[in-house]
Amino acid sequence: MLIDGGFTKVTAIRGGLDAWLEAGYPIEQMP
Amino acid sequence: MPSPDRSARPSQLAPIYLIFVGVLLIVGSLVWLIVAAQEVPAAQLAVTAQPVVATQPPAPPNPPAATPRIPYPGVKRVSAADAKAALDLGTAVFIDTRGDPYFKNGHIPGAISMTSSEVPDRLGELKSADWIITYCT
Repeated sequence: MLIDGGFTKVTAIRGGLDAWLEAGYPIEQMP
Repeated sequence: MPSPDRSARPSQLAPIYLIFVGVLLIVGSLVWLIVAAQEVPAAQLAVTAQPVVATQPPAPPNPPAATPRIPYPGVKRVSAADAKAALDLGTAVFIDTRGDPYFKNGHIPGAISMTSSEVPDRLGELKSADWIITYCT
């Protein structure tokens, strides 16, 4: 949908948030 | 009146022995042929049974595991490390597509919560020149 909306630089994280967490990168939580 | 000599001479019995031995050989050969003929079908059955087994499709050595469904396969993927570098440099906008409950539980710092169904109505929040990195679970 983003690409259809004219956005050309659209990517996704391979493995999603799970891959992010497995790499030990930080996340933030809503209070 | 003289009694007849009932004892046969060996020279007279020789043809009888030869006939008897010949009959034994013939009967023995016939018995052997019959027994051999009964064993041949079993041997042929064993030989012909192999192609039957061979015609069955061989089981794959390692059945392919069910591949997970990748949403939006046409979208390019970046590694988590590249995404982290973009986060540190501030060169990308992160969009969390999982929905609010998951987003509130934990998300990439600075990410925007926007499900795919919300995208059409919220395109104005983004700039077309932005590098957009989406993620889900």
